[in-house]
Amino acid sequence: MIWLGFDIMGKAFASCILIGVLTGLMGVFVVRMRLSAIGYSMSHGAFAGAALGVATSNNPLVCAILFAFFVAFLIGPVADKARLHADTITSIIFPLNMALAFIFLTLTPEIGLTSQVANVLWGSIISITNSDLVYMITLCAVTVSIIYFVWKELFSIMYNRKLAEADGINTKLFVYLIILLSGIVTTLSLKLVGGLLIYALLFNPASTALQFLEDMRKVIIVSPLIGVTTNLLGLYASLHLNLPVGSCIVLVSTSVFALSVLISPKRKRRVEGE
Amino acid sequence: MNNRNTIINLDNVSTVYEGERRAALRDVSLSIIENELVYVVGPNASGKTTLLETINGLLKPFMGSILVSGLNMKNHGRRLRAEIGYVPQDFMVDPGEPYLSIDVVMMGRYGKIGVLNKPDERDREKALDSMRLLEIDELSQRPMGKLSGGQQQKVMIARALAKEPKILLMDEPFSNLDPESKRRIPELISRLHEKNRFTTIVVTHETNRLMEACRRVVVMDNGRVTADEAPEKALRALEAGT
Amino acid sequence: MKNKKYVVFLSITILALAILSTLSASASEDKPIIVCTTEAVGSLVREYLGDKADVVVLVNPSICPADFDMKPSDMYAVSNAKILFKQNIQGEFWLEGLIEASGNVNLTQVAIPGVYNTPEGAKSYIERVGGNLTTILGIDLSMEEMGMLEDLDEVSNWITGQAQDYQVSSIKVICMKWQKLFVESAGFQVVATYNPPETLSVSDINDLIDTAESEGVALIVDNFQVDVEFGKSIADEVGAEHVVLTNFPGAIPGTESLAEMFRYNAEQLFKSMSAWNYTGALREENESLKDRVTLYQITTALAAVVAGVEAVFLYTKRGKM
Repeated sequence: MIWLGFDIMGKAFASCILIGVLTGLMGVFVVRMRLSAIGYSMSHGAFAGAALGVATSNNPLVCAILFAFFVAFLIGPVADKARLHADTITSIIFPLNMALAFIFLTLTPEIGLTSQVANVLWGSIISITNSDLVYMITLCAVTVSIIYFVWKELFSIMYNRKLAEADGINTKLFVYLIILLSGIVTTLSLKLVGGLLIYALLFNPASTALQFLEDMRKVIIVSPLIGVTTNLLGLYASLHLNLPVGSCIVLVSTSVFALSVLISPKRKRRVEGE
Repeated sequence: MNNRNTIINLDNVSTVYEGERRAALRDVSLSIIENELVYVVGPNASGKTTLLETINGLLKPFMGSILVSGLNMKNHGRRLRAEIGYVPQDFMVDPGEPYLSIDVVMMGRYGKIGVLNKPDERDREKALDSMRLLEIDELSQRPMGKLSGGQQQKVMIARALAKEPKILLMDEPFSNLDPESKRRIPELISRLHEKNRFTTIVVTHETNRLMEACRRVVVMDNGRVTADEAPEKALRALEAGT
Repeated sequence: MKNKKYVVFLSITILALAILSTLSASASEDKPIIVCTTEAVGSLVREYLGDKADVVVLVNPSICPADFDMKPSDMYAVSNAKILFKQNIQGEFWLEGLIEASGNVNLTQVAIPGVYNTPEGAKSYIERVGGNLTTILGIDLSMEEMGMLEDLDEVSNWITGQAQDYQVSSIKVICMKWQKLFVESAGFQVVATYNPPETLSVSDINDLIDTAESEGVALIVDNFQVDVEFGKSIADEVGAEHVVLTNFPGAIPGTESLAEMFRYNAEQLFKSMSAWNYTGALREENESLKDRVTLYQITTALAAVVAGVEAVFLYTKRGKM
């Protein structure tokens, strides 16, 4: 029987793959459903929640998830009821999250800007535990299953939400589902790259895939592959260049996206068309 | 009118767009009989699109009620929309959009297929049949963004037809078509309307063979129904501005 | 009518503030305010003077001085202080600005640099703090100094005795750099140190793990004021024991003085070393079991997901079967 190595680097490697799959998948929906601002706000909500956890000596991960849910609840359903545009809500929530995070951190004088908080801000690959891996694998399996079963509804909503509603699909339900799943994925990704950089993991792989592909079915396969590849390349770069892991991953991810824009056949066609 | 065959009934319906103060639909009462073919005409901003979207439940009226097949649209909207084919006025997509035209047509059937269920071969065949009817089946594997405006519009019509709807709502469905298609597709819709007996409401500026088949034209102006009669009389009323 | 109410409210507020400021001014005239940057000095001043002075410590003992965040009460204390004790450490980069902003021209600044977190270093601190207090305040503190030095000697002798009993000289340790001097003074062998964990790269962490494995390190020592979890991951990885030591008195209950702090820290080291000796034989099996548990958890979670997926499939196919 082959045992997996659950050492630090093994866990780092595994989490790069799992987070790459999760953010690559969810990123497609976040980008195509125009939930980018929401994804951004939720990542900071997760940061504020983690800060609250640190300040109150509770599990930062649990607090981060709860806060991300709270932000998702504010942005999704409450914005709908209050008839406020999502942009309005996210413009309010983003600075509020940051303010709350720093208040939580300074509220209890015993906890200053220590490594625990730095971990939440910038990630800490060494603090990824076996339990985190179990959560990531479970979430991967659950997310893939959900996407498999409701793919056609999500596909339709990504194309045109109004038309999807006109075809009898409960678009609100599925949009909220994506927001909630994105919140959990964001929270689990905190340890890899931290709250300040997590958004790049959601946005970049999907946007890169969209530069080349003309079939959404291929985008949903390729985006996670890009996420995994850039995460692993970033980890490799940080090892050899002696730089922080989170920043390296985001740098690699962003460079790949920038390169994809430059060489995108779609962009060339648009330019030629002009 | 035989009220037992009424499939759509609007009763004093008023609708206002979010953020607007002026109602886009005002006190509209309208009954449409099953299998009827109705044209809706009127100047720009007269409320034609609003009427279709209100019937379809995409816009919620702040006053009045809408019954479709005897069910209140407010409470049964999703279920009813699974049986209503809708061809929107705005349909153009960006050139880089990653959706194949066959997939866009299939989307029309998703509401009917239901959550958790997967589309099967029959659904795909229905979608392809619709595309064949509109002579765009050879475009099934092309991305939507690479189709012309007219082709995209045909895809939208095919999407609505693929649903095998009981009610078909079409908002300016021929505006982007080439002259030949403008002649043939209304004929096709007319034939399908006769054959499948679905109730059809068409919003258009154009007179064509489909109009020849309809017995009723609703004229709208400023959010209200100003005329609701036989085509000749209604069009005269429209020209007169009454 | 509305204007009148506003004027009355404003007058009462101003009067209340004036009374409060008079009260606080009179409070400061009774006892001198002595400000210390950290508890390393503050605990000593408190032991010397008791309630003869108001001792204000700026940096909470649970945090690193570099993470100090000023409050209004800190500014007030510095503005009205007679003496300010500082340590001239890198983490006090904010101090100069604070003193300048306070505008306290009568402030006597006393620097007590050097090592304090070993018994020898602490003795030097005691003597210098006592000497300065005697000079500035003109009071005899020789009795207090003698008492404090005796406490330190007692703890130091205890540590030395324990170190000999446990034979710690052969025990290898990796520690956070600010704990190196104490750990070495307790008789252990420090083979590597690390900077604050947020500054470490993956490569640094790998190097630490390699060193720990090649040297057979028994203890990984974290600094309470910096991070209490970093060392645990490395300890788990290499089969060492994780220890957290405190760097300032008062951060942990029962460590209000330097002597108590040394005793607490030494106890943590010796206890962990015993645990390491005891669990040595079981360590590998323990790690293997933990990994197995993780694997079982993963397979169980996946099995649950597969079951859920099958249930959905059965539900969707129910009419068609």
